[in-house]
Amino acid sequence: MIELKDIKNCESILLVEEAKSLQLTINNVLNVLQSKPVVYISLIKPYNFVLQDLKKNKKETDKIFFIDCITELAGGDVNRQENVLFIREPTDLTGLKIAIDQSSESIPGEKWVILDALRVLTIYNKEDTVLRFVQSVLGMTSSHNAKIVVLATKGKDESFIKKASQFFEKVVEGE
Amino acid sequence: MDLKEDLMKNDIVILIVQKNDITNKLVEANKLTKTDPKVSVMMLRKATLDDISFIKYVHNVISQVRLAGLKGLFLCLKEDLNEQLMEDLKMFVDELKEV
Repeated sequence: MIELKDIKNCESILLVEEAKSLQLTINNVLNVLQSKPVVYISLIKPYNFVLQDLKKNKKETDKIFFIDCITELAGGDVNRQENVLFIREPTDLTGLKIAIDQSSESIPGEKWVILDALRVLTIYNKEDTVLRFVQSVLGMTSSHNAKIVVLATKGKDESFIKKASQFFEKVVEGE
Repeated sequence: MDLKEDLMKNDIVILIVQKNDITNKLVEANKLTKTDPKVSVMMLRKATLDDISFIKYVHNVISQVRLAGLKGLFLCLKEDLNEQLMEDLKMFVDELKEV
């Protein structure tokens, strides 16, 4: 289990966790950030299921803005809804970058951007492209007074995680 | 193993099964669809797909099942999976069980 107490003090943090513990870690991150404005990039499942899980766990969700990269790809309803922006698919990194830019700019003051699984980006894109994306998002969020928490899973792409680690202020690995 | 109980607790369950056990597990899984119309049973085979295409396919199917408001019980053959695929699957499902 990852110790998350430092999240609030870091500009950017990469959490590397076992895949099976990822959901629990996400809940814990949101616990730590409770009542803070959050931009949540949903890459694992459609945003309304993330929302449903959070509500089930009695988490406050009013200040969470979602960027959903899955619903449209799976043929779900992407009509304009409050607090969510839909991205066509996880390969649309330009669209995702614009969505992060717009949403974090529209939230005044300090905010957190959470990306729920870096592994999903490397499934859908080339590793080099994802690295460039991560680097540019980190630059963008700091200019919007946003802190960023990226979750990654342990696995065979250890060398990729190592390369991505250099962009973060802190890297925390679960046991 | 109680599939019914697993599906009461979770929306998406993947069962990793041995080749010689696949028919039994499929019969057992299909019985659930008779008692709960929300349960959808599907066999996922990698066949000629490479790992990345397979995991993208599974991710998409799981998302579609969720969006349709169904519960998904997926059967995968153990021989189709390697360590990385297992890790990736764990990320997308509520429960992954090896039987």
